[in-house]
Amino acid sequence: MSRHALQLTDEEMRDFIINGYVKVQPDLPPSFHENIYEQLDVMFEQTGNLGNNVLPVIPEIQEVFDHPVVHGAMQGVLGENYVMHPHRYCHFNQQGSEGQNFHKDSYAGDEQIRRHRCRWTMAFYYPQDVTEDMGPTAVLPGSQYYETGESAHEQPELALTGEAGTVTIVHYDLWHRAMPNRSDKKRYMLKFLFIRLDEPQSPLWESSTDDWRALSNKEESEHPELWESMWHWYKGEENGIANGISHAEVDTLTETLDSDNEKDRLNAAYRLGRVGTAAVPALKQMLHSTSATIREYAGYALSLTGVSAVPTLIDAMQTSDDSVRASATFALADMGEAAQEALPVLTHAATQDSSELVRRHATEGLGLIGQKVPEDADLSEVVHVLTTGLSDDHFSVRDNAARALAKLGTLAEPAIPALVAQLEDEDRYVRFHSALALKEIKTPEAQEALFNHLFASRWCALTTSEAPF
Amino acid sequence: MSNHALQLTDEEMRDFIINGYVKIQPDLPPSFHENVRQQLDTMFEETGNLGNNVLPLIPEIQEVFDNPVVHGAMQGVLGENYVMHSHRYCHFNQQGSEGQNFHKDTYEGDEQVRRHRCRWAMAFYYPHDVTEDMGPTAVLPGSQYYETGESAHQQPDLSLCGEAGTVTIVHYDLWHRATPNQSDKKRYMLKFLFSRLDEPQTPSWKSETTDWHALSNGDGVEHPELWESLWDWYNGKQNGTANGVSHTEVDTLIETLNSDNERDRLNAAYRLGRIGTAAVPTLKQALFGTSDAIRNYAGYALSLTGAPAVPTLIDALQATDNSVRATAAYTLADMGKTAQEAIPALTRAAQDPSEWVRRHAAEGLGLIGQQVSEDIDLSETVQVLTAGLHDDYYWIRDNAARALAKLGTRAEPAIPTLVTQLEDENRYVRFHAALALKQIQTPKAQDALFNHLFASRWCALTTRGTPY
Repeated sequence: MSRHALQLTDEEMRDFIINGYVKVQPDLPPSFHENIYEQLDVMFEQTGNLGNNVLPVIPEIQEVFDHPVVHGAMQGVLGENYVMHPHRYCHFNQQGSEGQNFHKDSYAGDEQIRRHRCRWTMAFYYPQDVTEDMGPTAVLPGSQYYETGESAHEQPELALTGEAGTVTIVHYDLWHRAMPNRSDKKRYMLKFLFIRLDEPQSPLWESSTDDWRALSNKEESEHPELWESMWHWYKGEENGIANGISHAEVDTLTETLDSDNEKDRLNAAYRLGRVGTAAVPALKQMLHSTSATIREYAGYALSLTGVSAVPTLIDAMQTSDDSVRASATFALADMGEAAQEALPVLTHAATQDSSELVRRHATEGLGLIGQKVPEDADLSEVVHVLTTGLSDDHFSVRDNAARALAKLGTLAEPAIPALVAQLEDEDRYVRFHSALALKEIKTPEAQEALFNHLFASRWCALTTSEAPF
Repeated sequence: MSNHALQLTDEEMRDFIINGYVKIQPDLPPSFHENVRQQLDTMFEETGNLGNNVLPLIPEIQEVFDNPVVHGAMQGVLGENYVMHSHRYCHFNQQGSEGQNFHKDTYEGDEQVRRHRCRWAMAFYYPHDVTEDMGPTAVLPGSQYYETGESAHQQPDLSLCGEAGTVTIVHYDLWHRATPNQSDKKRYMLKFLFSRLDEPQTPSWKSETTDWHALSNGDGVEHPELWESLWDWYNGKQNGTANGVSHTEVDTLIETLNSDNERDRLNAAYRLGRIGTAAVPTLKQALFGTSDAIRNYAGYALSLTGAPAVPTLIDALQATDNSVRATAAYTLADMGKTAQEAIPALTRAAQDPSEWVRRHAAEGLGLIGQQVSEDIDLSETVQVLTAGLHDDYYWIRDNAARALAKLGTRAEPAIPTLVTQLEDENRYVRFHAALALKQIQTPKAQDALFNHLFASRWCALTTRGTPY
């Protein structure tokens, strides 16, 4: 995107990595937000909540997300070419509401996949002032890495109050809720989703230091190796830095992967992931464990380990246990560029594997890895398989296949006819990602087909049943 | 568009030129139309008629117009790069309705400008069978060239009955109406507008002959020179063929421009337009006369005359009378490429105090400018059209945006202003600004347009019942 961006600082990125949110305030006039608030009133009165269609009905909302401070912050956490996802929702917290319990959202089109590396965000936008009593959205800072409510609730609750126009960008997996609205005022919160298109290559913020330790406050270091690993990832440095752990410690750490304490499990996984080759045999055993939890944490460690873990993960994709294959696929996909040599096996798994979960992770991985291979690499088989994936029975596979093709850009050109067909997929998100892929392919043929679709789908916000033309 | 097109034949183009309509049947299954019909029922029940937004709401309708027979026919009458306009309307003719009177439609964003050369078309699509008693749309064939109901009503009334899926493409100025619905069935007719982007250069149909005389039937030749001139125009020949009329006949013909009989006026104008240089002094007098009706017909004749008339028309752009300047601008615009030397004068006229002059001048800069060679400097023209995007009159903003669309990549300096006008208070200016960004085709224009279009992208599966 060529729009002006006001970038985040190192300190703001640090805070996002640790706390999972960044709060910004675009300098739009109060009348701008008042106008949106009034249009939301009209929507609820006249048609009810139109869900994803709130943006074409009130296109001014786009200006909030195009604003340099919002755009710049989003680039920091999702990279230069992030994309607004078609799922969005106006959360109307009525006067006297009881609020919600804390929760993580499910993924639209890709349920229950929790990744520490930020490839999805939400942005919460208030079109009116929100005070503590008005039922603001609340978050549990730092809880984006926690799966259990137990760990999450150890974090102090933070109410996201603020003036009209406040935008809070959160890691998709951050625990959050609507608080009770004890006031006599309505509270609207517009939630929009965004997705990363490019894996990190260089910092997309105003970067002036490489030194995480100098930047981070050691006193607060609950997850030093997790955080530092993330810092490196956002900067485009794929592999963890060896931490010089002894072989003896590896055994203790692998045992900790099964601890009752989630924070300990997490620290053990990230400590193991930075040992390097020496930890791989032990992690391989964990990957084949019967415990889903252990497999998952082994997966995070293997993903962080990088290149030296790839052969083990490729082997694991041949096992008969669906869950093991799925964990291995997930770890390879998450690794990105470092997993290049896994492309043939992922290509095979994307359509041939009997498990929908494996196919899902494999299709996603083909996009994450394939987008970074050198230009002379032959991806025609990858594109062919992803094109087939567009017709998978499971919408999440179709969705991932379309998004993966988008990530491949012009290389995905042979998929154009299939993508055009999926503009009418029965699933609305597959439709969107097919359109996105056509945009990213960028050839005249793709653009012509996309313009045809978009002009036909173009809603005129001035046109209503009272003013039909 | 790269869609497959089943082109019209010479005979079908001849019939369109004479009668002003072409009726076709895309090969879509009955279930397709039934689905569209049911969705229209739902729209009327739940939200009322959403007018222009019927397409994003029921995007399947696009398939009708993308169908090769419809696409091919539209290419024949509007050229290869025609555009679907953003105005469309579902005409719901209820059981027991009394129907309408015959009328011509007004132009969205360009009212009351009647051109014989087809740059605008409407398509009428029925999503169900329509029989005579169900209140079909009716047309008066051949009436697209008539301004008076008197002339139009001399044509026999034709009801456009047909099976579900029938599409009738009509010249925008054809007289038409909804007939009374005497049945107990609802009748929907979806009217869509289309506009020409490129002036004709070669036939955009399956052309086998350029010989109008061989093609036209000698019987019933009411407007031989009008029809042949239009045939030449659609074939990409800008000027009328000299008809060898004697000088003495010119005076009689000029008098006929003032006849009570519209058909005679029309024939006289087209006969005058094919004389060439010899008729220009007399036509100039008519152009500067006091009668608006005569001036109008003189305009048609001068447009057809082409190059020899251009200096006279450029002079007329300096006249003190607004109507004279407006007609001159209109005529130069209609001429297209032939009026190339008028670009500087029209560029000035696009800033005329009269909004009528500005309107025609803005349109003309697109019609003419799109055809001039790349070494001609259009930067001043683009600058003036960009300023026109802020005119107080919406139809000037509309014409300026459409003209910039016609200029394509050469309109690149207008990008920032076009992006602003995506939020014009007028919905058609918004559309034409988007169209111009599409035609400019640079990465910057495309990026801005994608941003707009993705934000405007309606999801037809998303309703308050299934919000996500």
